[in-house]
Amino acid sequence: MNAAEEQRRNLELFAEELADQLTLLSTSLLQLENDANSPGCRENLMRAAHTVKGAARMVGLQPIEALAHAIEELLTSPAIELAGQALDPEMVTLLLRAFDELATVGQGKPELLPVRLDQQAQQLESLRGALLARARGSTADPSAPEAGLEPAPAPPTATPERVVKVDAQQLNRIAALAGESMVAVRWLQPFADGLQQLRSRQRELDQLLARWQPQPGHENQLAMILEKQQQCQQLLLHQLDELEAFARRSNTIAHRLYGEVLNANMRPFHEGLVGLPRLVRDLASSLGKRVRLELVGRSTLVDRDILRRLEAPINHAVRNAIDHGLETPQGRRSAGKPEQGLLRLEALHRGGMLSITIRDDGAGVDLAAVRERAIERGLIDKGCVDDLDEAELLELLLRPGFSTARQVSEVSGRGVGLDVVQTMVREVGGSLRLSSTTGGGTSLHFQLPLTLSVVRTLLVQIGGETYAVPLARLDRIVAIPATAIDRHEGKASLQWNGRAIGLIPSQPLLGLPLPGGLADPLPVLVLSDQGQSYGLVVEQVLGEQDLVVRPLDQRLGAVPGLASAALLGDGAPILVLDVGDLLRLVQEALASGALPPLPQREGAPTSTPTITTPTATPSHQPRTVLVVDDSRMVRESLGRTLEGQGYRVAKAVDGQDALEQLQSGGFDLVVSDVEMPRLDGFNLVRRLRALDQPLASLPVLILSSRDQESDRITGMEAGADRYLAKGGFSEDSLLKAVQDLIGPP
Amino acid sequence: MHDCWNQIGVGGDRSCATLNDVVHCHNCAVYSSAGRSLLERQPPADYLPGWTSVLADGSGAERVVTGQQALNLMVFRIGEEVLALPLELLQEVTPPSDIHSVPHRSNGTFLGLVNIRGEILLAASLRRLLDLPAASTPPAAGQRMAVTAAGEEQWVIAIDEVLGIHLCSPDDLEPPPVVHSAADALTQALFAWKDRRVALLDGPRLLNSLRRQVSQP
Repeated sequence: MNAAEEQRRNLELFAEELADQLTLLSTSLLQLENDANSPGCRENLMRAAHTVKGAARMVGLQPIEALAHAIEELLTSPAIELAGQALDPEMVTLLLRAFDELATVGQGKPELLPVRLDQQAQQLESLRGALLARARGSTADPSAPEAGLEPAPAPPTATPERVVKVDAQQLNRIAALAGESMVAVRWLQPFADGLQQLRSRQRELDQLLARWQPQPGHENQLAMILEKQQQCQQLLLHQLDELEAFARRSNTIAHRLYGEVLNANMRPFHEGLVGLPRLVRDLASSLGKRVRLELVGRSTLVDRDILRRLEAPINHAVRNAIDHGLETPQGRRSAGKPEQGLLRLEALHRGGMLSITIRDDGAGVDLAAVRERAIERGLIDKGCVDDLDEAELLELLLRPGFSTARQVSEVSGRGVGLDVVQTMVREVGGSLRLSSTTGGGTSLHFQLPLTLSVVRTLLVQIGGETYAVPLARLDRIVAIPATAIDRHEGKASLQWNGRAIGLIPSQPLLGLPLPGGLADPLPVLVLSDQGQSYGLVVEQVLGEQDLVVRPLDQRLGAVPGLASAALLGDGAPILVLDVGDLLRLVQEALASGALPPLPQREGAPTSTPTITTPTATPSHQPRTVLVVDDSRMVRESLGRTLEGQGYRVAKAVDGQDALEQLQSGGFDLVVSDVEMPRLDGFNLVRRLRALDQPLASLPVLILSSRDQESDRITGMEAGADRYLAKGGFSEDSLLKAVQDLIGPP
Repeated sequence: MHDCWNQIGVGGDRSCATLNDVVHCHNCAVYSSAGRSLLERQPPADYLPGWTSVLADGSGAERVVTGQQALNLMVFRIGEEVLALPLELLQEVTPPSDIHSVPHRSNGTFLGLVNIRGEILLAASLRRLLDLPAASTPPAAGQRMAVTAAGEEQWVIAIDEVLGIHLCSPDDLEPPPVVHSAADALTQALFAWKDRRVALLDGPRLLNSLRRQVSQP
């Protein structure tokens, strides 16, 4: 390691250390401000400041060392020693500013730390001056702080949990292997069951032997056979017992291993909230309110990923509570409440879910104002506003762009409030509920999955393969008889709860060809987003399953409609759908008119174009061939042949249908029959050639049962690029012709 | 030696009459004597003198491939084509398992996702990437999936049969062919194996072109 590299490494370590110590400094200081008698806080503050000072000295960052020293001075000065009394808020603010300044310097690339330090030199210096002035100014004897400056390294009040850093990827691999071993162990029980069967066969054999009357003189032999048989029985029984014990043991171990690995991904709740006490303090003082933050369930374990994504929604909810929920000290006094408002954050595990409640003891939601706003925004009719009960009114607050705040404040109330929180909560598969008592306060309840890595899903079949849909995003699963489908103007819908829900085939959303027909009854998943519901039609509903999801391989990029991958119990890979993204695809497809109609019932011929998503580039898309033939059998068999080669295939039932589909673009070749109803193959080519580019030059291959030379000439004259006779038709010659015309898929 | 156990015995069509008596070839005298003759066979007449002279003669030593420069290659078959990959690129070879296609991404070359020992990996068809003709014979029991890995990047490729591991020295490699086909473009060198020329695929370039099959623009 050369010197520069070593310095870079040191700076990196220093930045980490600094961040850790600053967190400790601000939490301790705020705790001390709340309760001047908090045990251990003073010691923590001193120790942390001293650590920063020492670390800065080691890497030669003199300005940080000086500032840390000034912080230490202030912390040891009598100003802070007024035990039992509340800290001077001004002093706390000054210290917090110093912590902030250090945090700013510490953020960003570690190797640029000295550069940032130079830029901030002035601020640091003035802060240092202010800190020292305060420390000296209130010091009766200026020499006193010098003595006994070294804080005794007080023994930590509680041994902190030892933490080891593990590469996240490695952890994922361990989780994968643990999951696999859990699956592998499942093989043992069926094997033991097989042996049980062998045992019962043997018992039958035993009974047969027992009934057997040997010929005179052979009794001795029978006795020997019976004895051998007995031995086999004994041995088998013994082995079977051992195997079953082993299977049970392995199963327990594999499950526990798996549970532990999942737990390794869990962190205590309070780790995600380090910035919260500070936020509450700053916000309350800027609004002239007094707020006490209470955290319950600090050590409740939460999935690392959820914890990370919770930070923004919780901050948002806390801002809301302080700004709108809690009253000013005067307001509270006149309402007969203590001046200091209480904001309580509670996290606990309940019923296999993580439940978080944010409760304030403020004025509660003004229901009259909500009603007024709702009418104003046209969300509800004047007539039925009185029919809405409290819960329904509160639901309105979760709608996008709904805020009762009278004026937009800097803190909150821009109308992008709770709906954002709701969206984020939904993204992690949770739900949000609001409750309120007038004059008594407001509560926000988050229900969240314990871990993002295990998702309850519904397994469905789409395009002949299995996909999983997170249950949290499913409104309902219905099986509707074909007669209950309304069809008009090519759109299919379903009446449900007095509303018409559009039926959307799932295959085109995933770029897969539509099936030839529909199952009856038709399995439909009702999904909704922003109050809009759609019925996603799948091929089959296979059942519910808990899946351990893993992120999709990065090399795949963001795949439209997919959230993650997982393994089924039998080890088969499976994909988990992203309902939010699917609904976005539905809306896009509806807007562009690219969504093909729902096929008819099983057996009825239909056209099956697929949607190409805008994110995919043509160069990576397989080439698309439109197969036009009025015989379903020919369509299917040609389709299979071409798909087998990797081409994407769409099908049309006659020339007219083909012409309509071709208008939407995205095709590379047309393979057409000649004799068809409505518009025949020759006329299809003629019409095509009369259109604008690029359709005018789209390659067309005619595949006809007429093999007369005159027909061939008619076809080529019409503008076809190739003419193949079905009589001498072989897969190879077709594929060769296709390849000649448009190249490999 | 006639391996009757693979022809008419348990490894073959079980038509051997002796099977009625012995149930399994393991119990048959023919099998055990064949085994014994294999283990007790005499070395070829020129084996000992040959090696003695090779080792005694300094010039022969050059031909001994030293561990430093030796190339370990896995030779395998895809359709009719015999190809090789450097062994250090291979993580493991497993029996084939189910592949789940990936919507909007799967094409002829990128097949989809496959589960290899609990990890979900990307599977690709080398046959399609190299534009090799389809196998004329139906898929045999020898089909395998090979997990290739370069750094963090893993790919699972479907192969029809593993033919063996070949140890050779860099001197045995011949310059790559003039590029005529997709397979030629990914060939790093040619070498003689048994009675044919085998293309040694260029690992980094292979992984690169596989990556291009799934990557976003």
